[in-house]
Amino acid sequence: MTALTRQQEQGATTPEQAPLLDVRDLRVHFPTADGVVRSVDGVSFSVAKGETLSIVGESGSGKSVTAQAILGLHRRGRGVVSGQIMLDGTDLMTIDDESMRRLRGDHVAMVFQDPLSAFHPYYRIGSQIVEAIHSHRQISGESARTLAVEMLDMVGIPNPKARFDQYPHEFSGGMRQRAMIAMALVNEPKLLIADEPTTALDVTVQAQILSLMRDLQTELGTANIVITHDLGVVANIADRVMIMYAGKVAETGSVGEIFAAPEHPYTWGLLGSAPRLDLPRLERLAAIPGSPPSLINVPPGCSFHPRCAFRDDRLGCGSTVPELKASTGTHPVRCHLPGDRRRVLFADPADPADPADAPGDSGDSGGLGDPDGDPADLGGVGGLGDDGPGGVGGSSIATLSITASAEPGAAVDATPLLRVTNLQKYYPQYTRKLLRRAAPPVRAVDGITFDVRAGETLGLVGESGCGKSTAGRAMLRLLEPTGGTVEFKGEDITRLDGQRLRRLRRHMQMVFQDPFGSLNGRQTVGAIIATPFKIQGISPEGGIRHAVRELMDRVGLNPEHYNRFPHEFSGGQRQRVGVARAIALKPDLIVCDEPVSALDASIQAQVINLLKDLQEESGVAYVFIAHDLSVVRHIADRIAVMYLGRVMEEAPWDVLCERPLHPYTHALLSAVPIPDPEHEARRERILLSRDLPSPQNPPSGCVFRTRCLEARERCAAEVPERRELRPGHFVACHFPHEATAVLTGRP
Amino acid sequence: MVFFVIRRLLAIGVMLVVTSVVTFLLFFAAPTDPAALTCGRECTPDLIDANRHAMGLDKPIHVQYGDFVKGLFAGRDFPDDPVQKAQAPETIVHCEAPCLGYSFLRQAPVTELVTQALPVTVSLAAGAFVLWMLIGVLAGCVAALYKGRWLDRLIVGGALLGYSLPTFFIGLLLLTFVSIRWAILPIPSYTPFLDNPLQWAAGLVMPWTALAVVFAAAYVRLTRAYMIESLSEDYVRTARAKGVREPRVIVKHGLRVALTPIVTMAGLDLGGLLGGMVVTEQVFGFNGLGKLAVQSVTNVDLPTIVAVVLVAAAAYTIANLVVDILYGVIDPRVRLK
Repeated sequence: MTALTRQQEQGATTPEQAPLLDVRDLRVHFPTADGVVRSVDGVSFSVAKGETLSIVGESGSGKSVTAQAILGLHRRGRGVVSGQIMLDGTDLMTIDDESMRRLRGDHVAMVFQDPLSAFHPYYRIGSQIVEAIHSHRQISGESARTLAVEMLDMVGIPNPKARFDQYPHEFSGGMRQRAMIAMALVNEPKLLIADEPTTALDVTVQAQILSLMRDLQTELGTANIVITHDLGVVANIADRVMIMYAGKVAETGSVGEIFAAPEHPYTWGLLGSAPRLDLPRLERLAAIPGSPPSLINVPPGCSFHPRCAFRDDRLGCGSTVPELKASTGTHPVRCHLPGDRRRVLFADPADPADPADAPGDSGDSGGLGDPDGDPADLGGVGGLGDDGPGGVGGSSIATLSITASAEPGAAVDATPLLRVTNLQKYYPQYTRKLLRRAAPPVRAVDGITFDVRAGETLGLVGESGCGKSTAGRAMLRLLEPTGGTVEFKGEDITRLDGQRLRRLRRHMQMVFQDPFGSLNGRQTVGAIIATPFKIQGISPEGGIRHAVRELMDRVGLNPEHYNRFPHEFSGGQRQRVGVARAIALKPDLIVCDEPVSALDASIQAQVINLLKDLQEESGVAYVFIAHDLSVVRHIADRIAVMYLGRVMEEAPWDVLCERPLHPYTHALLSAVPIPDPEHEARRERILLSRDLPSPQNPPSGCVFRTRCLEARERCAAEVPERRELRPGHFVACHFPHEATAVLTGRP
Repeated sequence: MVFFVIRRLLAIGVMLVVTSVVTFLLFFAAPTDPAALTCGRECTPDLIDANRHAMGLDKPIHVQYGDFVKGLFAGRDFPDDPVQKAQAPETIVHCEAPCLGYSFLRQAPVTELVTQALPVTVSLAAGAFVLWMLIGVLAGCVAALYKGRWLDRLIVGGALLGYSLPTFFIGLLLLTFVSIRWAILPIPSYTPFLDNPLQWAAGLVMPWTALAVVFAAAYVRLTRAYMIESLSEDYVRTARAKGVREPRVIVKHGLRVALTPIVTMAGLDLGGLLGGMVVTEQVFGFNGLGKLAVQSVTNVDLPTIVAVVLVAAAAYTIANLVVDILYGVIDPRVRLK
């Protein structure tokens, strides 16, 4: 009976046999002093043997809580769990704690986001894996060890016998996540839950881990639940997708259905808000306005309606909770709008159903002045809409035409705004013997050279540890460079004394990554934004207060919130405060250090759009530091790729993404997952072997040679010079070449 | 690790030299003339001079410090006068190798005074330490596991009460009721452990308890806080997710991490106590270092003061070193750096 209804609900995708995992009406509520937090509120889904379900959502959507509820990790906790969870015929809600413990790690295993904090720092990797074995099986220590070593070998850890006896901190991030997967799979579970398994990793490592997970699944036949916010990862790995919003399922279907024909406005917005490597660059991203609701006061009716561009109160968007049902489309969706109307709207979103309704009572969710709560802003969505159905639908081959470079023939004339020449930042190291001696320094930044022209954006990309953040700080002298020069408007700032440097700071500002740590929690945002005026002793026209309110308005914050404290704002709004502070003195240059990487996709798009608008208005130049190539491609005029403290390649954005010449850029581009399942299936990846070498002891010659597929003898002997191979295209490689097909999956 | 210990030992040596120099200087900054205090009421200037000579106080200060250091390593004579030694050896007092000085008030070498007092203090401190660590860590863990429930509130409330009761008050309370009114235990007194271990323990139970109450209260709160923190760590969740049994999760994954900061505190507290427990020793009438210190201060027995300060400083710095080594044992990340 139930199986029948279930099949009806999920269309034809469910196999004939009973599903491995079946979750019905799961609710996890946390009573707090402020009210009940409804983290998961009536979620139903199932996972068949051997399939991969991806649960997608922004932070606070309830996806991780759902996973932990399956493992029974809320037992003894504060959360109140109700509903039904059936695993292979066992009702997980009714069994006792000891039976639940026996299932955990044996039948269901979990891989967590951050493998550094998920491993116990005090115990060896091997003994932690053996502990997982011994918790379920009475076998000798010797055979447990053999089993663990075999498993480490299987997940691709080189020299597993030696690695068995090492501690987690002796592993690199990627190796740690491999070991985590080994630990989860060592008891051959039927179901593996991976909670953001690659979010903490670099793209090249992410590509390795995703391919490993796919291989292991084919080999072991494990069913997977992969929780992620990254639609590219979903397209790469999932069979079916479940989109969550505010503790409820917004939409669920096969990966093809979701990407080809998203039914929920939220899914549609998510797909539009992430910049994509494979599509023509858009002027603006289709940001979803506002921010996710509080789970205590979930908006009445459809919880997405305050942010929805297509809400129609005549259908009950603001009053009745919509059902999750397949009305006209291929798969179930929780939306009041009729399917055919949605399809029309998605194709031409510039004409919302009932514009008069939208801004009116949107105040009920984001009380803190939703910056883009204005439907007029959604006009920008048109950019996506034009090629939306085609592009998103996966037939993107035709749309990939090389866009002409924005600035023809790189400006040769005047001095650049910023000229960085051979910039170095070394950190001295000492031996730890009885008498300390100088050891080789850590070469965080090892001689980088580039120009930034007035009003342009230079994107600085690279994986963690490549020195991009250090470079960003050293070029503002927030860190003292140990070599090289930085000329700002023709003046070498590395030699300036304190007073003159302070005066110069007016013209160069910074936006930081962490929107929590970079704002003083004990100051009001008004005081924070006013700081630059006070430090520089500038009294703007109309007084500081007036200027601050104008700035707040400019970055999309409600000026009335002048006296609020940072903790009263969401992450995206806090990042706006950081931007307001940076633009207060109308600087010529802002270094943005990963300004959006801590934000959810929909919020990320808002901040990126804001940065672009500000640049258009004031002509400020950006150095935009990020690890995400798709984001950098979207915003940068030129892109420089860093590896191990050096710049490998620098070119105009379109040239770098379409016709890169450096093998490292090839690998980086090929590793970026693209939110299009067909495209992902077609793509060949350059998987980099090995880990990043230590910057204290970099390889001789070309620093990339140890991981380069093209490396030859000459690469070890000679450091490749930075050469201008095309106008404005600089490459530091002995054997540069094109490799277009690998990058985008085009035949 | 070996280099680390060697470097730290050298640092401790330097610390002790500095401490001794500073206390020596204080010795001379004192307004009283120690020689004048040695000969009672009927003192003549000649007698005072003779005593000053006998104590070696007639020499310049750096020479005196040199004599002190020499005494520590080679022993010394009082008075250090070869002529007198040759003429009347029976008037010379010889102070054996680790010579911390000679107390003219007590007519005894300071080393002897210290070695008599030290076992009392060590017995007191060690017993109390074991007691408070057991109670504090155990109750702290229970409170953390029952966080927010009545058992937790009871323990935290009890700890607050214990923390607010001064040692002397608990000591007097115990004396009055346990020993005198109810006569369950004898009046506390010190019997050397080797003479009769049972009597040793019986005589120390009350001071241990009095001392342990305050410390246990502090450690309950400390352990509770660190346990709550460590139990909410990702790796504890991992351990549960892989099906590790709950007791093992709590002890192996939670407690071991929480112990790291607790060990630091415990080492320093114990080191501090080994320098003497002024109040406890006074209340129970134990002749430990604390009482020795109080008596020497009131009587301006300067050689004894210097010695007690040095012993206390040594105990504290060595405790510090032990803590640092333990850190490496507990946390492999420290070991490898």
